[in-house]
Amino acid sequence: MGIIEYARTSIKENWSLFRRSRMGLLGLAILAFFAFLALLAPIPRLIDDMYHPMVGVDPEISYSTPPSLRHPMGTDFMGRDLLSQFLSGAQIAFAVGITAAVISVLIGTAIGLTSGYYGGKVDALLMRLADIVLVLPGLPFIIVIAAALGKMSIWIIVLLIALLGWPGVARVIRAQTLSLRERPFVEAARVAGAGDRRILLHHLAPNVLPLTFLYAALGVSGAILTEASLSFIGLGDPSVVSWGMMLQWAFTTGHTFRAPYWILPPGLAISLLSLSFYLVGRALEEIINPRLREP
Amino acid sequence: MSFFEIQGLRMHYATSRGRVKAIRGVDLKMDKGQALGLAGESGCGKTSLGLSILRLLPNNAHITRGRILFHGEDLLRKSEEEMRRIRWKYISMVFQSAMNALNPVYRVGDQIVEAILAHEDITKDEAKERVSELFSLVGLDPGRAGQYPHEYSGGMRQRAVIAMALACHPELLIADEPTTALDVIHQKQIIEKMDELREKLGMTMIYITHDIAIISETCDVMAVMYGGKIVESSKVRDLLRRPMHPYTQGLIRSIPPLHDSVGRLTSIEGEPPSLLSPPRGCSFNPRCAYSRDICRTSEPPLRQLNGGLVACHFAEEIPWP
Amino acid sequence: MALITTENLRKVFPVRKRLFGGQEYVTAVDDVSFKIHRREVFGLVGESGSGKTTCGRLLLRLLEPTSGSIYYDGVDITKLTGRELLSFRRRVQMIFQNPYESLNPRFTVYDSVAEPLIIQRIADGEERRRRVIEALERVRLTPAESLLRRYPHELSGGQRQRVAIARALVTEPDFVVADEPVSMLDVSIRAGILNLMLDLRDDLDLTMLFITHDLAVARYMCDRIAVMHKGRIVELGSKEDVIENPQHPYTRALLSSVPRLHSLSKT
Repeated sequence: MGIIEYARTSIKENWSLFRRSRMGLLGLAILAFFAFLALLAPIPRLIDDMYHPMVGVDPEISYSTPPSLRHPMGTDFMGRDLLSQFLSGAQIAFAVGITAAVISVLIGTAIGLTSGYYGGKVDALLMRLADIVLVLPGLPFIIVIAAALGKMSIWIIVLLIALLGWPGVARVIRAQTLSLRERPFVEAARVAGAGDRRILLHHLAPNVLPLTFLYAALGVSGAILTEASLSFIGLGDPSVVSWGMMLQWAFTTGHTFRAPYWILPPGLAISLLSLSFYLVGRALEEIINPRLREP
Repeated sequence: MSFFEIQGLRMHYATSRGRVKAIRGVDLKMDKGQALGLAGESGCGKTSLGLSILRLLPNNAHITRGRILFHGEDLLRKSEEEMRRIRWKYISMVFQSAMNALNPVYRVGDQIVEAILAHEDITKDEAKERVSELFSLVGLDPGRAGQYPHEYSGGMRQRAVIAMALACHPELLIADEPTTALDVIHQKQIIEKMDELREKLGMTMIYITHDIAIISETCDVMAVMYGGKIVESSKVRDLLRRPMHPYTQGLIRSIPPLHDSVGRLTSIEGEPPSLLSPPRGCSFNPRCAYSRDICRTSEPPLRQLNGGLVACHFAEEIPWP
Repeated sequence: MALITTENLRKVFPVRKRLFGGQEYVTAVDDVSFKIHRREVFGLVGESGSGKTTCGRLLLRLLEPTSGSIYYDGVDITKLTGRELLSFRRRVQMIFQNPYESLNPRFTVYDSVAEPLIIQRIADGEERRRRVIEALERVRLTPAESLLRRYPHELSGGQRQRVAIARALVTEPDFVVADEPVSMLDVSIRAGILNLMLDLRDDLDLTMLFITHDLAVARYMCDRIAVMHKGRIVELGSKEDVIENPQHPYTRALLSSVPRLHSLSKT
């Protein structure tokens, strides 16, 4: 049976366990709320051009205003609508978080499986590589790369986050593979004549999949926070409105302590959304590792 | 008043799939100095019974009914503090996996000294003296008391765990598959040692195992558990000479003998019952060749027959060659 | 004629490497030679660490011997590669000790039993399904159709071991290594599995290497028994000779340690 089919049955089986975790459900609720906001993101600019998060400026306003009927969350220093920026931020957060996490988990799983299964020189080489990446100081490293590249695109940021995130995943998957490799069903497959490829894809991969899900969920939190930090210190993609970017604009135009309506929503949203993925991750972890489950 | 008695004990584990009824009404009586062999397959409730006596059950276990009387006092009514004083000192237990019972970061001898000092008002030197005695008693070199568990072989660890269980000269010892993880040669040595110690110390023992042969070599009385209940008990010799319950008969028939050649073993069809939803009536009825309508509706009580106890409606009619 | 002949088989495992000084080794199988005849159940008896399991794995090429040769049907299998190795795999199979571990928990019964057919490209489509059902019926798991979509955790221990046996026999092998196939099972269902294996041996003309620590089980199952101790075979003979008239002191010690059911027959 393939990975996809297994994933489907596994999700079905585990949902009933997940439902019992109150924190996990809370996380899922917050996550769903922001996902809904992200879906709404394209709507404002359809209503009126002035609601475009990046280039739409209210012709009658040229400074930051508090919430009003016309602008439910207020406007920024040049009269751009904060609500539409906020919604766009949700969209970016999901795109960055999920893409970066998926890429890093895919790389990490592939490397972890290979490393754990083959062992020996392959293992030594891949794990030293992982060590090197692991000890790179993440944010400063990205800052240096950003400085070297000059202008950053959001996809380069995603790629950098992903390339820095895989070693942790690879180590865990490798450890899991090392123990799975010794399980009799792997030997049973070999007796049946299975080659390395079949053992890796059919026997080992489906068994590490729960861990992969878990790390994907936890990875999203990290990616969202990293992107926000980068944008806040001005190294984000200038053509994209993210929550970090909103904070940066408020900060550089001196609104930090004067415009709570501008600062609070993106700040809270960053915390809440990364918290929600973290909570979901923890709930998944409890399912995967029954020892964490309360009796 | 008997030395040790269990009356109408019922216990279940609350799990996400429902209640696992591990003990479904167990009565048991023991005299001082007796050795009782508790036989049964995995999941029949025999380990749960041992843990219930010491009140070492996990948090999701609930004893709903019954009494466990030790010298006439109900252990189920004791406070946790009182139980702590009773464990080791009066009732102690040997578990199957010796590795888990020993703390890997302390010297073996020190762990036993600690256990003694926690229960008895003697000096450390006296306790150390006792450990040396215990070591020679269980056949370990007292010189190795200063070593760590990982320096011991499996057989030595199991001996150390037995020494620890005997440290305070308990009146009752519960041994749960103490030799299952060991090779037969070590098993033989340890069983003989435990026999010897029991005689010497006048200890009472409950020996929990799936291996009837071990019981036949070490115990006076044997009780067979099935589906959370005792289905048959009597003196070991009587029970093996003329087993009355169809389950006991099947169990004995399915063991290959070492020295006599048999034609073909007869196995018991089917599988042990789920304690999540035990069958109605007699819990053995789905696998029993003699079962009739009444077996599916009414639960047979444990009753006196031929000097033993048996829980079967038709025990008188069922032949044994 | 012997189906399997081993000559001076040796397997040495490297253990921990010291920081200074060389590699340490442990000899698991030491100069072992024996023959297994066609349609014979050959017992390998010993305690844990005696090398009996390593020996079984060497015969199936799950481990490479350090030295010595293994002839299967006259061909030295220690030198097989690629295609030849795959077709050797088709003729030999293994039944493992722990049915809870030897079936992939993510595979349904159908997936597990069909896997050898898929790998060996023996049958596909309806034919594959028919063979799987036939194999399940052969191990008396009926109705087979109702079990196909079950997962191992939904089965009892006895059912799992039957599935594992069906999987081992679905490619119709000539030779099966059974490594303690009943030691993890409940006493009341052991006899059923042992009888099943004896019946299958007769029906399918199997040759079997039966690895066990239990001398009584060995006596019930085997034609000849070899007793292993510290990597060497210390005694080899017909089951009656080995058990009733043991020559080697180790065999005697082993036999006298087996707990007996007293007062069962002779009192």
